[in-house]
Formats: sequence, structure tokens, C-alpha cells
Amino acid sequence: MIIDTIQNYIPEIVIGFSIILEVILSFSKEKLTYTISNAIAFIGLVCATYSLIDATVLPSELYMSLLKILICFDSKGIFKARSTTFNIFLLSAILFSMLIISSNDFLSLYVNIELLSIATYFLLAFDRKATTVKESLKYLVTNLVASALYLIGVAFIYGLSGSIDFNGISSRINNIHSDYTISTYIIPYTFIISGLAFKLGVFPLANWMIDVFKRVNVKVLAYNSTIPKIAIFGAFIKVLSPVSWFEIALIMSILGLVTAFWGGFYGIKENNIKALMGCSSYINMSFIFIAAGFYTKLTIANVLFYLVAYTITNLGAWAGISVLENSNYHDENFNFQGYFYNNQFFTINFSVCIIALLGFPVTSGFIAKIYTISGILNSGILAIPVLFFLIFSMIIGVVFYLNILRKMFRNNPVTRNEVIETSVKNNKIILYLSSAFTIIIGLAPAWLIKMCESISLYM
Amino acid sequence: MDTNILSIPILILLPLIAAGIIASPLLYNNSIFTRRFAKGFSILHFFYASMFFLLNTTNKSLLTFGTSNSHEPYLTSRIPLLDNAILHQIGIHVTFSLDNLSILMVILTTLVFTITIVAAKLFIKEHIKMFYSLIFILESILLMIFTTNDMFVFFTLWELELIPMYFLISMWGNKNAKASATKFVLYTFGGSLFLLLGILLIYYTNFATSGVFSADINQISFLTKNPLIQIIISVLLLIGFGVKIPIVPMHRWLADAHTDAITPVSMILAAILLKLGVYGLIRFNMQILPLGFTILAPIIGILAIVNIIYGAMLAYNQKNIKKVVAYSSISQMGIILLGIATLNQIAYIGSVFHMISHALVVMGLFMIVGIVKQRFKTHNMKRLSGIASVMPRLYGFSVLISLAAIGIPFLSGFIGEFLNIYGAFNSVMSIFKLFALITVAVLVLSALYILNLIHEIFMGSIPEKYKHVQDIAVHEFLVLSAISLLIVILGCCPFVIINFLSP
Repeated sequence: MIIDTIQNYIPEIVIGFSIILEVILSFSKEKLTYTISNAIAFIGLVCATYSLIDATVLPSELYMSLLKILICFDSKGIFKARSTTFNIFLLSAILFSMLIISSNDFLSLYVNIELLSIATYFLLAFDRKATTVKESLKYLVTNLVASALYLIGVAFIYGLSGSIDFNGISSRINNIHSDYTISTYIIPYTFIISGLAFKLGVFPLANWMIDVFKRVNVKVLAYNSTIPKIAIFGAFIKVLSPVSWFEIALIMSILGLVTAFWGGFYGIKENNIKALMGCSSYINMSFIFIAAGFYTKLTIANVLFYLVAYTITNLGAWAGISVLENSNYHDENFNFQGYFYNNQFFTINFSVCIIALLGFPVTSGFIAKIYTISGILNSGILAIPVLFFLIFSMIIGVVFYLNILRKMFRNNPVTRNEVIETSVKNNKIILYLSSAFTIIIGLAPAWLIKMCESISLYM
Repeated sequence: MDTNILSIPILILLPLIAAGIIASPLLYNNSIFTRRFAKGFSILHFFYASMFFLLNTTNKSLLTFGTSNSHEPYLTSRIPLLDNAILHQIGIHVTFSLDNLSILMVILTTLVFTITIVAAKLFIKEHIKMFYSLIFILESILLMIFTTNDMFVFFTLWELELIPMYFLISMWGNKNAKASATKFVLYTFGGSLFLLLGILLIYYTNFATSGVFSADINQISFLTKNPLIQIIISVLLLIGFGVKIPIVPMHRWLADAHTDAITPVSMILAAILLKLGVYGLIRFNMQILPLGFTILAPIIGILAIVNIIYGAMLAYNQKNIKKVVAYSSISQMGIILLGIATLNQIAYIGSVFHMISHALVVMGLFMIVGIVKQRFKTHNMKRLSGIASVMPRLYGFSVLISLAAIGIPFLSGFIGEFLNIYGAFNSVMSIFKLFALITVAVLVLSALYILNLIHEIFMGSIPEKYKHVQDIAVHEFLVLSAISLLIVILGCCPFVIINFLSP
């Protein structure tokens, strides 16, 4: 019995073990720690990946690979000096995200989300500058509001159904002799959804995102725009299972559409490329959010596919931004005019990532877009108005993506003829790999679609 | 006849190979080599494409009016790597085929690109390698759009074409070109999302009625007799294609994109990309949704009339000579749209004919405007006069091409307009007789703006500082004479194309 339980949790145990190793390492001298701590984290993750047995754990596998990439992110300054501390937080973040996905009731979900928030909070404030500490405080305070909303919703649900277990709630709701009608459950679930949506940067608690994205280090942002979001979508797939109704889909559609329009309009006048990535995150997240709301087998597959495509492309884009940040083209607004004429291969790869976020063909983003729209359309004729608005928000989004491209391909400025890049080798490799993967999925998406659909059958 | 040498994959993938060769270091970064290679390659490619027209003796391939559901393309081939079993399960087949409409559009595309590449020598001075590789990539994408059989492949290519086009407009245009390119991409992207909704609705409705997932344009026989669904899908598709044509409320991108792009890109934009929308209307709305198209036909007719009048009035009011040409194509596309909406065989042939004719004419006009801009450094009509006295040869060609644009007999423009109007008079729906009358009356306007343009810039006295401007050089002469020759040939013996299209 105990052995069975342990077997189910081997990946988590392996990661916990590597966290302990990192803690021990942090007491040693500083000279070699960067390489050794990264190696420990990397090997721990590889072992954890191999110990995953279940076929239904694509999200968890995705974490592993993402974190492996994240650890390879090259960084300078304080991130290099205190790499053990950084890796401890990063590994604990992945541990709690995996526990979020495997949690089966509202209470353990809450505890794991809070633990993930603490790790995220420390990571955001990691470089100890006054601005970043302020932003992470903003994140923390908004997070408290979100938790409060979530808890109010859970309290209502407990009062109505007498259970906080997802299966218990489901059987209670579907019971014909229940005391309460379906519509009673809608408001508490709205509270829960808005509480969870905070981490995705979806309305109503979304305004932390652009400020945080503007000022925090790229390495942390690459973490923050991928790992917590996959975890929360994993949670959504479980939380929404008792309530796959049209009303919930409508509420989530409205929240998602408001977010998408907000992101799109904000991006039009914005110059800072990191803030633009925030706007891009608004639009893409609302897309997945709406697909998750409709909750059919096909839309769950859509969510999985979109997450895979989005996270990989997103990491590539962050790696590219990190390269730009470490070059002499870096200034406040990332004014990298004419970068193309100096570094063509890099720029083409970076453009592939941007084009994929935009959703143009021969990239994974295009396939994800078509697949998701077809999934939403398939869930009923009533989804067509939602799709109309979603389409308009995407059209607005095109403007700022093209702004990024436009800057790069603008003619060569006279003053800066040479590109000087410092310590960005790993990031470039990450960028090239992710743009290659983006195009491979764009050309041959069938295997991934099949995989996502087979996983969605289990859920 | 042996048709083994005619292979569609070679036809559509050759430009990609050319783009690869130009982008690779094989040509040593040498602009002269690159230009000569591009010219030679595109001329050979044009001859290869014409062989599909010359060697086509079978009658099987006809896309005739009213029998769309039973028609079979005469030459089909599949792309082995991309066309795999997993995609077949969901009804997607990456196959390409040619019927008579496709053949004409393919030849037109290769012709336009050949002329453009020859003409580009005058205008493209920097980033030469990148220009020619983008041009060849664009050509390949367009050829695939005109030959594909599959709705989803069509949609993918329809969006893919935006990427090279964005760079072509923005990198070589004037200082406003980047904003215009963004506008172009925004409009087309917006339209294409409606197109996607329409395509997905066709796909799912076809599944609901027939039980088979299929995305093959030629195999979908739309079983639903529900006019409401057909109308919804038709409207969605009309928005998608209407942005490209452009139909009047959605035309705002056109003038900016044409004016700010460099001349060769404007030529491609006006000659081929506008025709994509009409091609899509024929392929999707006419072929798959005949019921919805029949119900919407009077509305499309009204939109066409609005296009003709509004485009002509805008063209007459412009001071910028490039904008005159740009708005004139809105007017001409209205005539083509009227032919499509008329729903009979003659007008259908007329509109396809007019597509080809308009492509030639508008290329010629843009070339003339480009030469004038290159010599006199301005597009402003008020600052230009008396060019005829220093550039007599350019004047000669201009008169010929403008007469074709007005629709004078024995030139190609006449045949297209005549067939369209004749078809509209013979239409079953009586309202089209009224439309035909209005069109005849309004065609005077086209004479007005074209002759105004010629009069303003060629007549009068030339300013002193322009006395020593050189007349057209050899390659400009070649381009203009090729265009003029084709206009005259099509005007004198239009039966080459009419017989090819009729049953």
C-alpha cells in the first residue's frame, strides 16, 4: 500500500531530493556552484521525467522539458552568483505545479497554489532592486485578493454540496433529488474561476502583468509566463469537470474577451518589447481560456495543443529578447532598429517566434489557432458570436506584433554598425531550437494533435 | 499526346528552388548575376507554364457554369511527404490540380512575375538578393493557391502570402510604406479569419449531411438545402474575399498600399493579388454554395455597381497619379464582380477575360507611372506637364494602354467589358438589365479619369529643367512593348481564351 503510494509520487520525490541537494550545495564555496547546481537540477529533472509512468501526464512532461530549458537560460550578475537559491525556488515551483495538477479537491488545490505563489513571489523579487521588489509586492497583494475570491467560492460550494472533493461535488450536482438547481452553482464557480484566472493574467485580476513584465528579469519572466499557466490550466480541466455548462462557458468567454481586447488595445501604443510580450500573453491566454470554458473533448485537446505550441514559442521569444538585452542594441525601449542587417540568422529565427505568436502559417501558432477555432465552433452554433469578437481582438493584436517586426527590419542606423553580444550562447541555442520546433509542428502537426486527443479522452 | 513532362509539383515548386539559389551564396552577392538569373529563370518558367495551356487538348477539365459539382480536374498530383494518412483521416489531402480556370490563372501569374522581374531593374537598388528571393517565394505561394484542391491548404496559403507581401511593401516602399503594409496585413488578416469561419462551417456542415470528413473543394457537394446556412456561409466568405477584391466598404487599404509600395510590388498587387479574391469567389461561393450565391447575387451586383461608380469618382478626384491608377482598379474590379454575380456563362467568361485584360492594363499603367516618378521625382499631377515632347515613345505606349483601359475596340479591355455587359443584359434576373444600363453609362467616367491623367501629364509645355530627360531605355521598352503586344493580340483574337473557357 505504502509502496504503491510512493510509486505514484516518484517524480515529486526525485525533485524534492534534488532540492535538498541544492540546499546542501548552497553552503559550499561559490566558485563552482553555478555549474554544479545547474547540473544537479538538470539531472534531477531528467530522472523525474523518466520516472513518469502514466500516459496522461503530458502537462507534467511538458514542465520537465520546459524547466530543463529554463535552467539552461544564460544569465549574468546576481542570478549567476546566487544560482543555488534560484534553482531551489525554481525546483520548488515545479514541485508545487505538479501537485496542483494532481490535486483532487479544492483544499489541496488551494494549498499548492499558495505555495506556488510564494515561490513565484521570491523569484520575482530575486534581483533585489527597489522596482522589482515593488512589482513583486503588487503581485503578492493581487494574489491575496484572488485567494480571497477563490476561498469565498469554495465556501459557497461547500455549503451547497457538503463536499470539497471534485467527484463528490459532481455527483451532488448531477443528483436529481438535489435541493439546489444548477443556477445556484454558477455564482460560486464564477468566484473560483476569477480567483484562478489571476495567475493566467485574465480579467478581473490581470493588471499586475504588464508592470511586472516591464521590470523583472527575463529569466524569471520566461518562468512566469509558462510554468504557472500550465499548472492553472491543468487545475481548470479538473475544476470545471462537474460544471461543463453553457453558462460557465459564457462567463469565461466574457472574461476572456475583455482580456483579449484590453491586451490588444494596450499593445498598440506600447514600445517596450517586454510589455508587448505581456500583451501577447493576454491575447493568447484568453484564447486558451475561452477554449477551456467550452469543455468538450475536442476543446480540452485544443487547450493541450495550444499550451504546447504557445509555451515553446514563448520561451524562444524570451530567449531572443534576452539576447537583445545583452547586446549593445539594448536601451530602455529595446530600440533595436536594423538588427536584421547585422545578424540575419538570429533575426529570422526570432521573427519565426513572433510570427508564431501572431498565428501566421507554417508555424505552430497557426495550427493552434485553426485547431482551437474549429474546436470552439464544433461545440455549438452559439459559439459563433464569441468567435467573432475573438477574431476582432486578434486583428487588433496584429498591430503590435508587426511593430516588433517593423523595428527589426527598419533600415540600418548610421551610428551602430556592429552588434556586440555578451554571454548569450545558451539563449541563442534555445531560440534556434524552439523556432525549429515551431516550424516542425507547423508543417507536421498531425502527431501532436493525435497525442492531445488521446490524452483528452482520459480526462 | 505525351503529358509526362507536365508536372504540377515542378511547376509550383520551381520558384521556391529559384528563391533558394538566389538566397544561397552561389551567386556571390553579385547584383548583375542575380538579376540575370532571375530574369532567365522566370522567362523559362513562363514558357513551361504556357505548355500546360498549349498541350491541353482534352475536354475533361472544363469548369463550366452550372455543372460545378460534377467537374473533374484533368491533372492532379499529390505532394508525398505532406500528404499522409493521418491527414486523410480528417479529410485533408495535400493535392494540387489544374482545370481550365487554374491554367489561365497560373499562366497569368507567371507572365506577371516575368514582366515584373524585368521591370524591377529600374526600381530596386538595394537588398537585391532579398527582393528577388521574396518575389519567387510569393510566386510559388500564389501558384499553389491557384492549383490547390483543399480548403485548408487554400486557407493556409492565403495567410502565408501575407508574410512576403508585408516585407515587399514595407522594405522597399517610401517612408509611409510600413504603416501601409501594416494596414494591408490587418485588413487581409481580418478578412481571412471570416474566411476561416466560413471554411470550418462548410467542413462541419458537409460532415453533418454526408457523414464524411472532406475538405476537397471539388468533391464537396453541398447537400444541405437549408438556404439560411448557405447564406450565412456565403456572407462570411464574401467578407473574406471582398477584402482582397476589394469591395467598397473594405477598400481602404488599397490606395495606401499601392501608393506607398514600390512599382514592381504595386504591379503584382494589382495584377494578381486582387484577382485572388475573385478566384476565391468562383471556387467557393459559385462552386460549393450555388444556392446561397444565387440568393446573394443581386446584392453582389449592387456592390459591384457601387464599386464601379465610387472607384471612378475617386480616381477622377486624385492629384497623385499613382492613386489614380490604384482607384481605377477598384472600378475595374467592380466590372469583374458584376460579371461573376450575373450568373450566366457569357458573363463568367467575360469576367475571367477581364481579369487577364485588367492585369495587363494595370501593369502597363503602373509601369508608366513608375517611369514618370523615376524621371521627374514626383507623383503630383499638377507639377507634371508636357512629358510627350521629351519622351515620345513613352507617350505612344501610354496612349495605347490607356485606350485599352477605357475599352476601345480591338484592344483587350473592350472584349472584357463587352462580354460582361452583354451577359448582364441576357441575365435571367431582370434587375441585372438595369445594372448593365448603369454600367454602360458609368463607363464614360473611366474615359474621363484616364484621359484626364494623360492630358495633364503628357500635354502642355515642359519646364526648362526637364528638357534633357532621357526617353525610355531598352528594358523599359521591352516591358511596355510586351504588355502592348499582348493587349492588341487579346483584343484582336479573344477566341483563344473564350474557346478555352466555353464548353
